[in-house]
Amino acid sequence: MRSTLRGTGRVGLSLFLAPFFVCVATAQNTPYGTPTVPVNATCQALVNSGYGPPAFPNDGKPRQNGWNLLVDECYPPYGNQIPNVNNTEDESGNLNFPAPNPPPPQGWNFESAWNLQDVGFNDNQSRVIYQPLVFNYQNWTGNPAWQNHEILFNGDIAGTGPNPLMGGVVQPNGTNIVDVTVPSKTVALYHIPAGPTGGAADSFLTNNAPPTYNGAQMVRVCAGNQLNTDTAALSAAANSGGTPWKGNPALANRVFLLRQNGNGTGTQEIWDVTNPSAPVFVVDLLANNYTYSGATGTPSDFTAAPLPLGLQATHKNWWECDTGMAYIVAGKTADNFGTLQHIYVYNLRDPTHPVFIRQYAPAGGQHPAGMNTGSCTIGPSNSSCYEGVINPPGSVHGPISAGNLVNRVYNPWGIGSDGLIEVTARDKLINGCFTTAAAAWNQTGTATGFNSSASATCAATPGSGSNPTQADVLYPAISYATMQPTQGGHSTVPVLGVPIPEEQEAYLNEGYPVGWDLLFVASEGTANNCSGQDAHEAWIETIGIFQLPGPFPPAPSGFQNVTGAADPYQRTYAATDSVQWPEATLSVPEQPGGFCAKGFRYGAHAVTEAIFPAYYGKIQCVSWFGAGARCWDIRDPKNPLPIAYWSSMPGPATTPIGNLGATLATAGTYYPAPGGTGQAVDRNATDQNYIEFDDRGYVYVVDRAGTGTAILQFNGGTPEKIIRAPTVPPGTCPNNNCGGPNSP
Amino acid sequence: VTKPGQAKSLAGFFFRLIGILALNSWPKVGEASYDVSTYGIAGKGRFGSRARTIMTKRFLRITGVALCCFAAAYYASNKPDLGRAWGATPDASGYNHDYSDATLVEVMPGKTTKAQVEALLGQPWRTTVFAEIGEDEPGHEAPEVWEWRGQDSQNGLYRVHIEFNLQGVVTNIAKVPEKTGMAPARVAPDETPKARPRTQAEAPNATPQVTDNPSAGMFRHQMSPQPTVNGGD
Repeated sequence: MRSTLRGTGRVGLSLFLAPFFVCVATAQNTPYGTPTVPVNATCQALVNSGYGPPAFPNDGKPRQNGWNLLVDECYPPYGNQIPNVNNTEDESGNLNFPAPNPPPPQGWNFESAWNLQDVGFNDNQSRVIYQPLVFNYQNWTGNPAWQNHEILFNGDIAGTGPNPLMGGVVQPNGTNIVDVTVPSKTVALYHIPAGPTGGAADSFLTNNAPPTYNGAQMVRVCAGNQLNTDTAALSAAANSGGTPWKGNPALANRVFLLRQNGNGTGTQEIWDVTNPSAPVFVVDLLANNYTYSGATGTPSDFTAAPLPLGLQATHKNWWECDTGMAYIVAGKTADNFGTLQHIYVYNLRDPTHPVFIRQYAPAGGQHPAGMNTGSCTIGPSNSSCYEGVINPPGSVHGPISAGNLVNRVYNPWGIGSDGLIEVTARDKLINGCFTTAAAAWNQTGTATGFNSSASATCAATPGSGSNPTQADVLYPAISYATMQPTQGGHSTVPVLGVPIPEEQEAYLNEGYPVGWDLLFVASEGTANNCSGQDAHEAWIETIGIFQLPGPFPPAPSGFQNVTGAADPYQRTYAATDSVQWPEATLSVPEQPGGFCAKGFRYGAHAVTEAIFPAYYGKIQCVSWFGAGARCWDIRDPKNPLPIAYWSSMPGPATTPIGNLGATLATAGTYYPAPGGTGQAVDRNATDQNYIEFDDRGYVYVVDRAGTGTAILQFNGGTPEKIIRAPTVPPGTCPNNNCGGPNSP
Repeated sequence: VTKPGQAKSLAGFFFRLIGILALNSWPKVGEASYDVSTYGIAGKGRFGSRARTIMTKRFLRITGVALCCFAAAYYASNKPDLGRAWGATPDASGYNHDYSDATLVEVMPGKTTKAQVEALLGQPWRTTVFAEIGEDEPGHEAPEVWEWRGQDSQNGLYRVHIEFNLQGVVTNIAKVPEKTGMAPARVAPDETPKARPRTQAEAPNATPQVTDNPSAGMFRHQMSPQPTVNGGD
């Protein structure tokens, strides 16, 4: 019924359009795939049917097209596929284009825009926002009132403010829910306050102490029907002879929100947002933890196993809607981990029955501070070294899973300094503490990745004070890159299978066309007025090189990444994701713009995480605080070109942070702001914290200074040309400027 | 700036204007002879051919104007209501206090506490806690911000902006007019800009420790091993 209701017309349209877009590759981009994980047949059919780039009408009205199903079902975090990326440039790549000439931004009190145009706005009740996420309700609830509605969930930074939907009652900042189906006419639906929710606890004084006990910066959303359809687990069950998890009928037609609750102190919790106008609390991941026996594959197999309450380092999460596996940023002192803010792996395939799986931190972070000695990075490693340059390794903010088919989880550590970019094997991360395949499959729906040598304390529960061994935490690790110490790992997103324009012939062996797997990485600038910090940047890392499918004789082992499979040409494939190599820097110059003197922060923050196929492998955006939200043409990842930016104009809710006379520091070193007069000045400059896409291609930019959410779309010639660029077959040179034998 | 609900009323206004223009321009019965005599052209019947030509041109002209007006009104009715946030005049109803300078001067950066501020100014309109565990270097934590909204004859609508450090002591206070979005701030003494950056040796709280790899001079900023409590954002 679900697939029937979900826009069969759109599928029909896509089939109609298919002949016009035959260049969309027909093979799934699954470079690290394992044969034990089946490809979702529906998604395969959708990809093979072909889709065209969406129209970009300048009207701010809803637009539905064939992209939605792919985005909402097939790509992470909703599915396990990765979009195919076709080569759309000749061999000169981006170097063939005129040098980018971004217009200088306007002053701090004006909107600044280049190739991005506003089509909508929501004030978010004047609450300061951290992260936006748009979820398409399709027909997940069975309620026509919400069918195909696009609902924005804004995670708020800690604070308090009046809720106009409740007569102005003051509530701790939490999760703002807004209907953005028509971007030009957004509708505020509900605000879920953070802190102890409900009743008298919402009074200002109660929740203002301690002040960090509110805010719900990050949100993830999955539909119960998605979670009940873990085809990978069902398939594994058929082969294992075990009892499959049959799903929980009570999840049907419901939509669930996973959010942190509290910043410095708090918890992680699930809400039922089936009716986004009236959310209902479901569970606390600690108080309502369960164990799962797997005896019958039904909810009766759950047994309550509450964990000690209270987390001290919550933050961003990632939730795979097709498998239910969640990577929770959390930590508490009683964990006895040197890296307080680390990862809790949970199985949330039944979000009404959370099941804790394990804790994880990179080598050195899993032990009390100082227990490990000697940097694995800068000295001869030993059995108790710590990874990176700081002991213990820094915190994690944005783990991101590429799904069970790609089988990778990317973990940035360090935030704004002493960073580590870590690639881990997903199956070994979630199953590395199980000693048998049966146990692993039973608990996570994935049979691979178990570790027969896992220690007894590998899966130490929160607050137990037990620590995994060095071998336990090294087991899932594939590679890590140590960042320059003034930079940290804040957020990452993998962009896999990007054709390299100049390497479509004559490279590698016998001229096979080459694609790269890329990892986008951002450090976080945390200082105001650039004070005391290096400029924080974002980078494109190469994590894999492989042969692309094309009109060439297949490589001896076919389409493959060099990881794993036997390959007689491996000597020519220089890199795998066991090695990371920075390829290019995404930088926003401080001038023109004078961002260090704008007020508040300047520097990179977060990379766009949502996968929208028209942009995937072509356009990547990064929030850059006072320098706005920035986007690049990444089709030639050796030469990324800036193509668009946005910075909101201050409004009545923009708050001044970081006086221009000095930093905000309360002790230590202080530096005058560039251009500062020596007189401390407060001014309401905007500070773009996050940029994200929805499944229609709209762009959401949220402001850390309280201005609200800007809903944008790409305009101008350059983004449209990138999005609509026709495929360039390997070995051809349509512009006749390649030189060599293929040019006249 | 278009405010909520104004767009459609604008559309209605344009429609009415078009109607009025059209009715007043279309020749009424008896006007033909006037038109004819005006242009000195003999007419036929009540509306001569010249008069009809004039009427037709006038009709087309007015129709064109009307269509343009309609298009403009339609566009306005569908344009995002961005004015609510960007460059808009705030809704003055929320600015219903006057926090006089005489009152605000009692807030002393470096001394006044949260409780004292709340006793003086009442519950703030909005608070924001920018500090996040571990994100900021120790001693450089982002502040907690409290804001009140008011108006007076000098500034018009304004916000009182007060920042607190982790100890709950005021570090920054300013009365920021909405019309300018900026104002001089009074800051705690240790936030006053220095003439030059302090050197490492001058930093009061830093106790740099060379790591266990002496050759790694770039790591001199490291502090003693302790639980990493990054938690920023």
